[in-house]
Amino acid sequence: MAVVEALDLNLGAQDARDMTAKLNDAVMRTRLARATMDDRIAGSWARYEIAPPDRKLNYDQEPNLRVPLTKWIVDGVWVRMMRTIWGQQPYLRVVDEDLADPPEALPV
Amino acid sequence: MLQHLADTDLQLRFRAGHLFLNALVEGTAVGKLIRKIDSRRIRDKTGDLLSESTITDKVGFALDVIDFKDFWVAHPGIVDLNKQPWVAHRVWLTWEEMRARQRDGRFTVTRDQMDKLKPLGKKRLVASPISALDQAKSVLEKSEDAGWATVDEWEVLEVEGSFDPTNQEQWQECLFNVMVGWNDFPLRAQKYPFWNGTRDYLVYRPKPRANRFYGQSAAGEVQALQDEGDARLNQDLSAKTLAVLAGLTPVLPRSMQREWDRHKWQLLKPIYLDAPEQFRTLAQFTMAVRELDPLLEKLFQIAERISGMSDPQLGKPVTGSKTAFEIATVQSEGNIKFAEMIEQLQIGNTELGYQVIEHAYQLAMEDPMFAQRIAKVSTTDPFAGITLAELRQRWQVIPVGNTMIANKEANARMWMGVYELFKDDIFVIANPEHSYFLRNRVLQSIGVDREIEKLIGTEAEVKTFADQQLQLRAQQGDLSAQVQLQHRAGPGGFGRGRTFPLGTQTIPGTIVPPGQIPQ
Repeated sequence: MAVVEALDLNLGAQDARDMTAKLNDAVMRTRLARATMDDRIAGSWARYEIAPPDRKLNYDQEPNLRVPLTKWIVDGVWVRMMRTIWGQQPYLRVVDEDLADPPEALPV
Repeated sequence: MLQHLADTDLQLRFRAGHLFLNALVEGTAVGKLIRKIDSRRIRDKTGDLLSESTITDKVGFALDVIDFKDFWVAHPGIVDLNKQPWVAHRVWLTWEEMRARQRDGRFTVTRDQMDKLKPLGKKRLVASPISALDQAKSVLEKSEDAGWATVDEWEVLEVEGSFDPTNQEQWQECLFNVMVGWNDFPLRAQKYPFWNGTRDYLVYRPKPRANRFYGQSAAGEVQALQDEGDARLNQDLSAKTLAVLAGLTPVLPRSMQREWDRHKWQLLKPIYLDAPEQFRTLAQFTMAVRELDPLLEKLFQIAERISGMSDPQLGKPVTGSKTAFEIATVQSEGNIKFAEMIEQLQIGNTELGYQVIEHAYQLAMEDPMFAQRIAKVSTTDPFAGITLAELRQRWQVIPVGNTMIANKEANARMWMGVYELFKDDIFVIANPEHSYFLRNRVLQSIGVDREIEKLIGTEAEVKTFADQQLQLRAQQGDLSAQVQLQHRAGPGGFGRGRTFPLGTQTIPGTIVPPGQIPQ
């Protein structure tokens, strides 16, 4: 028999309205507070993807290249991480440490 | 069960690739464990009729990779996600998805309320507020070109947190869905639906910041060096271009200027000066000083130390005057840093393992189809005799991957090197057991495991062969072989000196028969 439970908070109209406004306001304030950090991260993505630097060129055809330094480093670490953690199976194993019974392999 | 769910439901390796890349560039990666039902509408023949029905292929889970731009925590100074007052996650839903959620009861709003929401659909990026991160990612992904701009979507926040919604000091973990900018009613307001009391987000921070939620970004760490490198490279190229332009530009005395000539420096167009020879000197000087900026290499060297990734590891040729010692130092420092990053990531994976087990425990009770699948995979009920309360106390989830596994190739290379060094060694050639050990380790290190005995025999066979060889040599009068045999067969099976030492009346080297002790 499947388990079913009632989860609704059954808020009154005013409580629901207050709660909704409070959540929208809280998230909006947090988004604004994080704007500088988000700007910086946006720059990190641009550098990782070797997008040309965003600057005013002084003359036509002025060189505007990106040294792929961020890409070298991030990709180098990333592939090592992937190989290390997901390079074998199982990815995770489970041990039963029940003191009452001796350890045994789980069917998990 | 865990590996089955990781492969079939979570597609863990694929998803983790996105997560880890986000973690390195953004410093923090966030995943979310979600319930997923794979169903579809089919038409099939029932008797003589073709009828249409909805079938469910699978009930289970999925792992969502959440973009940093779509995820917010209440307080950046609280490290633990479960101790955050709230966490919020933004999703963009089409109207069809909104309606589906209303129909299946996830959004507890009426049809009238849905009608009020319908005009609030918007186009991503055109809608405000748009952060720089939104903008940057859309430009990088060229997402506008991919067609999002043609689809109306509804911007919905999913908020998990501890709230007192009725202001009666009754705090409880809740789950809310609200439309951004719409305060009249929530789409959903309910108790947190999952029994395990843990928020279903997973956080990966390969380089944590002390007492901060957001981790350090590997890209951010080298940003200043990156910018300096870009500036220097572009200055070099610019200087070179200017020098070439100057060299190719006819520099003429002003007396040669015609009326229609302008004083504008353009490639191959003459410029007129009172003293042209001075300009030529300047161009030659610029050419000489800006060949290649040696500081660029210095910047790369600093970046190596910061990142822990040396040039050879990145596939770059080793340049400059670096010694083998310097390269080895960067590599060994980097290996330690890397091992620590792996440990930090595995904290997230351990939590993932517990959450998957706990959610499977709950879903197996809520959905017979899932329970059946899990019982089939596990051959028995994996949760028999255990409660949710006991689970984290009794069961230990251990991540398997570690740097030892990653270093397997390095280990193989090391044994190949050892083999090259010792394969012609006189003691290895003389003793088949040494030779067997060397070959066995090389084969093990390159991953040949079960087939080793088929290739080089068993250790016992080699030992027998070595004994036979020794006896043969002893019989042929080989003194060293005789000593070895005596050594093995002597009383106690150990010790030396069972030949007569110098200074005795017996000739040194004479072998004492087995069982007899030299005087």
